[in-house]
Amino acid sequence: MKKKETSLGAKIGVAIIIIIGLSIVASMAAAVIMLFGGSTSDGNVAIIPVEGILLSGDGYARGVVTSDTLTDDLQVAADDDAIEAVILLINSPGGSAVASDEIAAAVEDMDKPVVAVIREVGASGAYWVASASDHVIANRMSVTGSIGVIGSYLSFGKFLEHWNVTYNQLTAGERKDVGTPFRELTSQEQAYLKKKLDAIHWFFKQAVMENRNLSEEAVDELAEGQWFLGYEALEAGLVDELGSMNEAEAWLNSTHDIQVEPVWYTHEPSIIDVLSSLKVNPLSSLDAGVSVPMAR
Amino acid sequence: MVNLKLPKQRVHIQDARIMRRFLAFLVDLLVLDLFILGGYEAVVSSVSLQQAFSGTSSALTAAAVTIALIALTYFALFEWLLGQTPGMMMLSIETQGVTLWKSFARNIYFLPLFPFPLLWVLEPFHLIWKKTRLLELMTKTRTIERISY
Repeated sequence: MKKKETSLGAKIGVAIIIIIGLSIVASMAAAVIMLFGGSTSDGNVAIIPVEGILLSGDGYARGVVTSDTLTDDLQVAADDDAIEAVILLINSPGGSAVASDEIAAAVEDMDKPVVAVIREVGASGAYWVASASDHVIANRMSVTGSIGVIGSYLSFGKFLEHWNVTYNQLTAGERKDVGTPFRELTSQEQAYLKKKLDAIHWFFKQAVMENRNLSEEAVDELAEGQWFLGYEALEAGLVDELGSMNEAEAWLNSTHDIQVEPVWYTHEPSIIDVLSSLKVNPLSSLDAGVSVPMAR
Repeated sequence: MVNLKLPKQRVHIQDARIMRRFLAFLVDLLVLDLFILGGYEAVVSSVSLQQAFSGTSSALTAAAVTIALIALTYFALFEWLLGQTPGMMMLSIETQGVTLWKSFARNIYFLPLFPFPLLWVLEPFHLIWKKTRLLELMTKTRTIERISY
């Protein structure tokens, strides 16, 4: 090569060709790795763990389940011809109302049998999800129910006042800054927010009523936010059976003639998940139960 | 036009300065990351930390080998065809005495096979102490900059 004679234009041209060529080769190699690099499992029943606080959004971290991850898993199970049924292995105190509703909707949309197995806890939003399945199983000592809504917020109003700091915010619209942590809520604002929580509570109760085929009166009694042990939930009609995975397998076998060969749909946080942390709404409350973000 | 009869411009060739080489290398890594290896984000995303640390992910191993080969090819092709990588072009440095096999040999440290990864430690030390990389010494090539005065 006579490099000294190569003009700048020619150099740029060659550089672009090399970059494009390598980019094509690299993309093809990455596609091949994605196609053949993933492990394949044999089995006919998807076991999807629902472990941790339910949040809307995507990403994955320990102690958190995002609605996108779960609905994607359910979609994969629905699209996989080898999968005949789904078992949701629930150990969650609930979480975001929206996430619970999204996951419950995805469970309802499944055209394959779905069994929910509540282990330690399947309360509030997690119970909302469980109730959407075809059969709910809980351990006799599991914590379940808790059909209620929490909206919590921190208020720094008095702290600011103590330090002689004045909160100034101009708003167009009387209620635009309702929920700001920098001042106390007025009684009207509390009533306003309570109305929103009542609306979410009503949606929750409606879902349980329809999913569990319970009367409105029965759900009203069960939906005061109280939690039930598994055996109490069975008496109240919130679960169908006491037991664990064995009972789920037996139910699928007896009612759908499915010999369960499990396929675990597990997720470990990827390198990128850890580095970029979780891509979820940071304003979502992390309280247990069905919760709603109170900040604007 | 007045003929000033100025003396002919003289060009001094010297080993490229370390900072320039370092910056050129960073630019090249950026080009690789932005324009060539973007497709590997999906591969890396699919690998869990547990798999990565335990070395049980075949996808990650395959991706690491492929990325290394592509990076090697990138540097080798540019240095062989143009005498410069895009990073070197931006920092006005270039290679000397590079042939096809020498261009691959002087960038062999990208291969993730023993003992080549040791060069990631040896090469910077050699560069700092001797002003040239160990592989450049072995392949009888140089990375230079031209200073006109």
